Amino acid sequence: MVIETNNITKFYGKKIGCKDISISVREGEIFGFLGPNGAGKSTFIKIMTGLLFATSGTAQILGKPLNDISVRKRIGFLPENFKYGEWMTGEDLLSFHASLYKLDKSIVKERIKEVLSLVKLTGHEKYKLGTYSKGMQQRLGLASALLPDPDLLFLDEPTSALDPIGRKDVRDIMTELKRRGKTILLNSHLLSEVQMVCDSVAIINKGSVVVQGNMEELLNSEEILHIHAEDISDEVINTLKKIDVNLAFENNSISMKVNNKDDVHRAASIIVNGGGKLYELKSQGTNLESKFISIIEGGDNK
Amino acid sequence: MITIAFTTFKEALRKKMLYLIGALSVIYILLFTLIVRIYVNDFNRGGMNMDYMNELASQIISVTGFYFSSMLVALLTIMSSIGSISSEIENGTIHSIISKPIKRYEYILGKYIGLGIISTAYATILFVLVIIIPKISGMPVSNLMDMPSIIKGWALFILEPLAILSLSIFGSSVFRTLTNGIMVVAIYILGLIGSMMEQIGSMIGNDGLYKFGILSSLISPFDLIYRKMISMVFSDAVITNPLSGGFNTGATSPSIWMMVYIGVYLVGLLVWAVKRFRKRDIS
Repeated sequence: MVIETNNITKFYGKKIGCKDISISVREGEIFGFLGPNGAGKSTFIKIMTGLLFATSGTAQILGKPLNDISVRKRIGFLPENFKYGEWMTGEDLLSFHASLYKLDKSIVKERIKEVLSLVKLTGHEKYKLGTYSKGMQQRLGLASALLPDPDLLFLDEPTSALDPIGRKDVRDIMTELKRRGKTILLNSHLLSEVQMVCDSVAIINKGSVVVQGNMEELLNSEEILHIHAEDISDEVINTLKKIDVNLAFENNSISMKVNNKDDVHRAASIIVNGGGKLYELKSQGTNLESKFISIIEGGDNK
Repeated sequence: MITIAFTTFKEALRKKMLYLIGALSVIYILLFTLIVRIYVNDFNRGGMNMDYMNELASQIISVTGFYFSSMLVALLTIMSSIGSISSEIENGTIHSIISKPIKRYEYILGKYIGLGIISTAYATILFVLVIIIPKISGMPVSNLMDMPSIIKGWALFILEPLAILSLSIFGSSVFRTLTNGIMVVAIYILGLIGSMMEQIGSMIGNDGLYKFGILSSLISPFDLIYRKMISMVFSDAVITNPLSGGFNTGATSPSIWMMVYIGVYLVGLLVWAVKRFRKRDIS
């Protein structure tokens, strides 16, 4: 595991920042960390990057205990609001961060060129940061995080200031990094984006993880099946209720929940074998957004 | 640490505040030169031949030069350092720095070194000018200073901003920028008032004033460093503070133990800053 946390808890006085966060992030995966505003996502990332100290709990990052400084040479971090002095040029900033990473001086120039090209800022490096747009600053922050060619990357809202093209660029960078075996922990509000790139996901609400797991399994764990069929007998309906006891049947239309693809096949077989005429069968998968909303709202209503 | 120091130094050089204080310094040095020239010309033209009076008056002018120079140095030091850490925390700049493979003490000491170089360089320029201008103009005060005392005086002259910087860096690592600014300026002023009270108390034999002065000097020992510097440069200084109304305040030069205390004060505040910052949450 690249990240393994055990009941990481942070209190700000009596206020909970995050509570008992235990997650495991495998090598080479993109892990989405989601939650509503104030849920504790940034608190958790700040603990992982050494800005905050956990009140309790333990963690291992790249095989080293939390706050082992040596491991930070292998970690890139793009904070939510990446800022630096407006007096610096883009190149000044990257040189400064390369020095902080203690990169070998012989490779710094070349590395700066590479990361600038990766985030599509080549040609802008001589301009002062005060002239950069928000999106350019975010790209530069990403470039800075990529300087040491990190094994693990923490990205806190990396696309919040980017236009759709910029977002796609960042997605492509993440995909390329994943292809090269890098691990990414992504904190984002853009759920469609998370759904597109993440392999695993943890949803956090009110400081605690409420759902965690593989993205595909999470989304496929529940689908809605819309069926249009005629000559449906009571026996067929009763058999279908073994799949979803709460199914709705009205005017030759059935709506029911299924848990996996096998259930879709089973439902179709039951109707056909029971003498029904199956005209239409539509499976509607859950997207991350609806899943997220149902989890958060479900939790809030408890 | 060197990376932080170098960047802090570069950043401070690009701040508008530095140019403002630079412009103030130029005006101040021009005024000082003018006063010295007028004094030298008028004294010679008047045909006065009173060596003692001449030395006394020229020493007062020179001490005035040092006094206001030390204030300008203190101003630059305070202005450049009050937000050195706190403002980076407030605007989030620090997030991408502290998360890098650097130790937190390196960040604090890097800030101290970077800003210390600026303050030291600025203090040295003013010190040299306040020594050279009277010498070139032929003011008799120059005869009272020899090279070893000038060097010792210079060492003390740069010690004052370095001590202020310790206090300011400590405050910046613990408080918000505005709070720290108020605290440092208040402590600096307390030192000026306390030092004056101590000297007056000592002169008129008022124990209460004297003790108040000593106590405030423990919290704010900056003026003590200045007085030690004056007593070092002018071995028989008749006045250390041009605002003291001409009292013979040179008699109360700080003891060597007070200077040891100042050393402990400077290092102690830095160590305290590092200790507090090492465990501070950066949110």
